[in-house]
Amino acid sequence: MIKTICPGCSLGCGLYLEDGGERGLRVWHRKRAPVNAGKLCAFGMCLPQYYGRARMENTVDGKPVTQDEAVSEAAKRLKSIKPEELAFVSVGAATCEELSSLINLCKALGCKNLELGLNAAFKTLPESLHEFLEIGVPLASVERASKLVLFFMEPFSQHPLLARRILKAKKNGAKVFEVAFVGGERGIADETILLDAAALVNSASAEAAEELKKLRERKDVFENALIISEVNPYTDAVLLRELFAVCAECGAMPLLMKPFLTMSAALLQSALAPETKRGSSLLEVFEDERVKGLFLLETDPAGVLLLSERKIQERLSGLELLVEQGAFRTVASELATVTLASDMFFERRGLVVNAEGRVLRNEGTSTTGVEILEGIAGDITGARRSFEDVRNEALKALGLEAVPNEDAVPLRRKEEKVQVEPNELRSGATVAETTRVEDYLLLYRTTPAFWSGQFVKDFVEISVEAARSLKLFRGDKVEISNAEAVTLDFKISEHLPERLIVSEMKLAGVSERLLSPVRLRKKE
Amino acid sequence: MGACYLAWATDEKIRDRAANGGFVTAVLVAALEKDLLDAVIVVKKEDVYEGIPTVTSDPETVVECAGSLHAAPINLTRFVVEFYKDERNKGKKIGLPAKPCDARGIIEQAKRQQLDINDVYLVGLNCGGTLHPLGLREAAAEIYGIDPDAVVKEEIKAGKLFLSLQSGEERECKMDELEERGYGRRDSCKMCTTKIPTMADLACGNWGVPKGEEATFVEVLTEKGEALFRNALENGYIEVKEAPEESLEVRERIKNAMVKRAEEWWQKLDVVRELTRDERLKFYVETLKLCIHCGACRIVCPVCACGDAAKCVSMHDERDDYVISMYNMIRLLHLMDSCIGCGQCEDVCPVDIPLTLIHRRFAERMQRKLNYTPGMSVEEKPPFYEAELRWHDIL
Repeated sequence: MIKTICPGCSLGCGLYLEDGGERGLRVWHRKRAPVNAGKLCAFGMCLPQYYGRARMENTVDGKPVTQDEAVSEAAKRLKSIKPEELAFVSVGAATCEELSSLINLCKALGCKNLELGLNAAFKTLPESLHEFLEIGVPLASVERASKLVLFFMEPFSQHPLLARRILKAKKNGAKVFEVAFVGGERGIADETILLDAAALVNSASAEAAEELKKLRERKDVFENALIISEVNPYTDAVLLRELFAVCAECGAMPLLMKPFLTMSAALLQSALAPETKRGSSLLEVFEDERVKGLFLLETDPAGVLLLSERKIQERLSGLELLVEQGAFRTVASELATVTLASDMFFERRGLVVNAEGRVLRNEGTSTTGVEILEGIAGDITGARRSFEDVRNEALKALGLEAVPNEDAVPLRRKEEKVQVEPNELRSGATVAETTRVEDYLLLYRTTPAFWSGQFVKDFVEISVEAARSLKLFRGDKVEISNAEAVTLDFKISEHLPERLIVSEMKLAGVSERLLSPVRLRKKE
Repeated sequence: MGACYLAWATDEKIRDRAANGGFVTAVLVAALEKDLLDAVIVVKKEDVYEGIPTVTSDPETVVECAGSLHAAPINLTRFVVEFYKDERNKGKKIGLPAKPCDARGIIEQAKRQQLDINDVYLVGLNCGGTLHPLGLREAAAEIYGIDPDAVVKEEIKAGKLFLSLQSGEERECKMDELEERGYGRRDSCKMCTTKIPTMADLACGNWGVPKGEEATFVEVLTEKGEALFRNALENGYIEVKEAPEESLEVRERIKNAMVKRAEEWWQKLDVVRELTRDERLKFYVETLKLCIHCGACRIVCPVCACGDAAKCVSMHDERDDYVISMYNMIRLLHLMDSCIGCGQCEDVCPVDIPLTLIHRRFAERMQRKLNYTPGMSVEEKPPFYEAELRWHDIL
């Protein structure tokens, strides 16, 4: 049995995985794990399937090669691309050591385009607030909070292992508020501040700014509260800035969850290569045609992007060089110039930083991931570091001398409260035109399954009114369309506003944003 | 009642390492070395707060795993079932130290044809209850005022929880006091009335052992138990003496006191009892609507043998909008005759639904009505199971 960390989100739940040979992997609950007391969400329970995907192989130009050959070819070809035309992306489940090696490689090539999932957020907020993106607060303080605000966060779907902490806080007497487009779904909130999704579909519009004023009118809600939200590569910049503005105005503290383990390790990015934080964001990397060479570390583009596979492949096929290092084949693998096969996350030795600032050990034995990256860097610089050297560098970057006890939360913010001029964060809004929403709005609810594309709920939720107006009956299907159309099952949810559709599954080709206008029809 | 003895290991190393004279460890080692068993399932101690179940044929490993580990609340049933799912293990004889809930779960699985009980040797352990590891850490800091990482050993004796420190110092606190302050045993253990594993092959513990003696009180309950006992005795792994009458009385007195306390706990923890019918329904709806349908409670349930064909899964549709989902409704129904109250479901529930309480409320009335206690004898078929067989007969 291997003591490992669930790669499903930034909570870093502990568990055991046992290799049952022909009968596959088995999950066992690790009750000693301080993050989750052994409890796991549906994604954690399905890890054997997650790890059962097709494995990556070492290839060059589609032909199988040895690891050494792939490493040396990757080094040679990476050197052939100008540094400003290169981008490095790791948005998924990599260890701190692997990320440290990736940063080292990126620097060795003189590249400033490194994205660990937070660049968009880094660029939208002043540097003084970056630590609030990187480090949260200990989960125990959620239980002790007297007031909690769930800011566009449905914890039962998005981070269930956080939901139990919120329930405990309620038991301890905390008041729970939610700011949402949909309210009262599980009855966890004592009050919902309902915002109109139609007004915020274009968050830079004057209408959106007006809608967000509702929040400023409720200082009583935010005053000294712990505000829980999520930041992901698609987080709306206006809403993120508004969250921090509210925090600054009301003395509230943010706890930002993230959907990928690597995102909390952006701390390493700040410490080792701060200049890369202004580099291309995930979306920019895939949109910017100046990027000619791309290195993907443990990143499935179809998982982390809301683009259709076709669009992703179109973009990737235009690259001069695509190097992909990972445990599993992805939508990019067919197109990659060089693929480098690493071991699965649970098999790896390494550290991860979770959303709280806790440093956790993944107790596999494989160091292949680091060896590959150090091998490439070694071919470029002539210096290859050992795993221990890399770990020590990562620890030093985190400000630690040794691997801390898993029960401690050693990484803390320097500032307790958000200190910024709120209007600085609000300026810049009201520039764009209002988007007319005449039909429906599709809201993605991002769960670990959503990002991994695995074990998703393959239906959408629609309102009672929508079901009535479309004369839908059990067994019917709905068609949701935008540029493309998809046909799906549906669930009727009495909590949904009339024109809102909620999906926990990506509808590629229909929506490339977390909230977007769509058409909804009964599929005849 | 079976024959009762006071017994201890002859090997000094085992006696030093294990609790109560090392009888349990010696019996398992003897069974492996003399080929009575092919393998043993033991819990490998990581530290005071963590143990990992391990299948081994190595007597040394068994010795290494000796000693109590109250803060690793594992039910071994699923490990035994998984062992026999591997075709290579069919027909192999295994043994394990088993708390009453381990033994009851294994017996229920045997009834459901998941294993042959004749292959499984249950060295039963008296059990006053287990603790959650994180709860114990908190108690160490909050109640004992010590660094949880400095604790090297824990022991429950005479109603007290003793924590030994690296420095050699020992701290103690009455279990009742711990529990009144929200620490101590898991709720399922507080309410459990099965303290002596009379359904196992041997029942072992320190209740009834005269003060000052390092020995295990052993009751031999079955032929398999007799075989284990004789094998260890005749091959010189243990020494024994007949348990004096006074020991039997003390053991019975302790058991009765613990059962009484468990019944008091049940009265106290059953918060639904005082509610009106409408309030009860509201309680069930409010708690079960938190369910995220991860399926963990089913996977860890020691009596569930449905596997992929589970009705609670196949009849559940997330698109339905029932206030209590079909998954939970079916599980409630399904466990009414079979729940052994081990609390594993609640341990792993990601949203902390009080499943031990809910299942017990449903199961207790049904089991009383049917005059059936699950997990006590492989001969007693679950009443609902019989009903299913008759239904198929009719078809």
